[in-house]
Amino acid sequence: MTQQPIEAGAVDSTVTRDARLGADGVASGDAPMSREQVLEAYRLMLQSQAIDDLAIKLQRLKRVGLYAPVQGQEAAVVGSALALDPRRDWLVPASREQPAMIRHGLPLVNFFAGYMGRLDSAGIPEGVKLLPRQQAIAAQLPHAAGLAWAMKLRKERAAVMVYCGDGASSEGDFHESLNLAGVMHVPLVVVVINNQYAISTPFHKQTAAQSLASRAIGYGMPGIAVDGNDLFAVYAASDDAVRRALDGGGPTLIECRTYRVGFHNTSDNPNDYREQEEVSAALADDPTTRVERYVLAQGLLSPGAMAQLKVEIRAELDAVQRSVADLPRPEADFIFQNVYDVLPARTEQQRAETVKEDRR
Amino acid sequence: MSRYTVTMPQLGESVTEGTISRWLVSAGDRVAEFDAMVEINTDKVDAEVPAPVTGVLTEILAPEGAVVPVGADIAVMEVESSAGVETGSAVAVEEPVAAMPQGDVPDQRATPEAVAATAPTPASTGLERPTPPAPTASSPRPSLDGDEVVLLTPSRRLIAERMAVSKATIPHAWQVQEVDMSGVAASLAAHRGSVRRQHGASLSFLAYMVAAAAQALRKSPEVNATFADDRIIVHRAINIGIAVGLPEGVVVPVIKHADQLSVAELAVALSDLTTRARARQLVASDVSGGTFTVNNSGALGTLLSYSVIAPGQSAVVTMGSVVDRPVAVDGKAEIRPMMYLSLSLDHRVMDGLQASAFLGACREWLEGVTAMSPVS
Ligand SMILES: Cc1ncc(C[n+]2csc(CCOP(=O)(O)OP(=O)(O)O)c2C)c(N)n1
Ligand SMILES: [Mg+2]
Repeated sequence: MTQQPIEAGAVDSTVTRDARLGADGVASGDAPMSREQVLEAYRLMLQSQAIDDLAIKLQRLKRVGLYAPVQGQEAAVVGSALALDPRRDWLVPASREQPAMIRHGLPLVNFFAGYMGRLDSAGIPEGVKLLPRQQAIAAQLPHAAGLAWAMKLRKERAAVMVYCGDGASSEGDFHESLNLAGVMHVPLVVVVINNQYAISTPFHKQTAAQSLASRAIGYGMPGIAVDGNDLFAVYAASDDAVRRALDGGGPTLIECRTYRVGFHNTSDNPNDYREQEEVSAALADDPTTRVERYVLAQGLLSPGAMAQLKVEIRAELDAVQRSVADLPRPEADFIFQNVYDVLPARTEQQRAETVKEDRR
Repeated sequence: MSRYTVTMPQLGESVTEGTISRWLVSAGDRVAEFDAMVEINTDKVDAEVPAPVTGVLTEILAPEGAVVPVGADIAVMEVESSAGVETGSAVAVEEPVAAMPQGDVPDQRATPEAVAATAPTPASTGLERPTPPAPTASSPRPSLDGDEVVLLTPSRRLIAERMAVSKATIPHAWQVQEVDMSGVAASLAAHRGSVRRQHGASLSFLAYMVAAAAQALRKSPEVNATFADDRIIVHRAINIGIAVGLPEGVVVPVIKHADQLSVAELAVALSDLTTRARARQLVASDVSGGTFTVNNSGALGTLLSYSVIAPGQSAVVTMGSVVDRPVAVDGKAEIRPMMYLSLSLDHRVMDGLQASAFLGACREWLEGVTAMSPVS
């Protein structure tokens, strides 16, 4: 039997729209977003940068436990999330999609409360169609596939968007979830943020394939690889995928090719495993700067209004951060809440001991 | 006015101490909350730590190069308002809540408050590398065409400081003996496969060397010691540091109680530590507590090397390359795998007599190994 080779980079591109926002901030093709949407995206991207900055400082002062910055991936995260309707669709994050969670309805106070250990205030409010951040790599994918299947069974017109990283694509959960989503033809949009690294593992050691979008062929779904630093390209691909999901067209795999500019998280030192030149090259093509150039060139904001916006964003975050610092810390038995309705006897005993230990 | 003591933050879960690599402000400077204040270098991360409150830095307690445990005091600040220091709320008005990137000019629509709030410094993203200091006027050499200025990384700086301290304070002396490694080579050939199968580790000359040094230290405890001004502290624990060369600088993970481990167990410990060192996954406890060091410069072909003693220790033994050389055996020339074994010693702690006894004990242990000797 002869084997039919599949071209490494081959993807079943179903992007019908040619929408691009280049590094120079010049758009080509049809602008896929309204002025309001572009401004919303720009604000979220700026806010994401400001959150990274603040959260890292707070971590260095031990007011935040651990933080994984978004830096460099803003267009990929924001462009995809904006294709959702938060009242209708579900968002299932991995652990580096802060602006998507906020855009989908997680209040800033709850967001900071989570990072600052004020867990009583960190929950996702009732009615917000968002799952918690997932630290276990790829474990959100089965949840998302199940959620999308539930939407289909209940005949709810809703899409589910799930994020994962290039590293997650090597996990068994990835295969199981995408395979099931394909077989069941569920309304799922899988956004793989290919930021070239899984902590210190570079993409070329993650897979011998040149594209993660090409995996879609094996799951019988459309796969699209886009420039993840291009807000318009990401949005157009995501918007197409969400529409397809809503119209009964089944799941889509979108690979956003971007670069993790920051460290993996605040416990990581990337200088140990990658060259500064590589980072500098990525910094030269900052996705938010692309949008900023576009916003200025199109006259969507004056330079002054832009400056004011940046001030407002920082002032708001700072006020939130201070108010969260005043919130109470959780009681010792918090760890036993929200898992069981009725605690099993042994767990109840552990809870009682923990409380007693804490009182001493 | 109130005093605020700045402490060493815990920069990662397993991090127990940090090195002050650079103060970015001086005593007397005014700093705003979140302004970059000090660069701290730990075994996990190198971080710029911001000021915890707004105020004046009155005193630096931990100088550059100091290794400070988490939670210990590193500086004192004077805070203008005593209220709200804990939560920082009282300092809100003073802190530049944000700043515009340089070049952006606010237009008339910006409120006066917002403009005032943007002064005085551009915000740092916290992700940028600190700006390198300009080469000082007192650079020892005039620069030549094509010169490149390479700034010290925190780990390079730490090595530089430790080496300078060692050479400046420890009167080094040096001795060399020559070891016939035939028996070790035979043992290695006999046991390499089984150690790999049973323990998943690769047996090497280094494992035998660590075993030899650990046993020799038992016989010569004075070599396993710390010189402390008016006394010598002889350590009972034999914790052997292993120098592992990495591109950014040498690291020295420690095998604790090495004298209680078999050659095979030492091979396992060596594999674990060197693997984690190369993966940059050593934690502070892996690199602390060493009482003596073994350096394997022979792995790269070096025959003899005059190693520098780690501050706090009294000696370092260095293996040269194992090379086939003709030697006289019973009046006849024979080709044997030979190795130079050299010892750098602190002459305050010991004299040539003890050093020779130690090296001799290492040599006897190594030459006593045969293919039949147990390794597990
Ligand atoms: C199941 C599991 N294995 C390992 C880890 C440790 N870990 C945390 S993040 C990470 C890398 C993830 O890489 P990627 O999926 O590319 O996401 P990114 O961090 O780049 O956003 C690993 C291995 C984990 N959290 N969960
Ligand atoms: Mg990744």
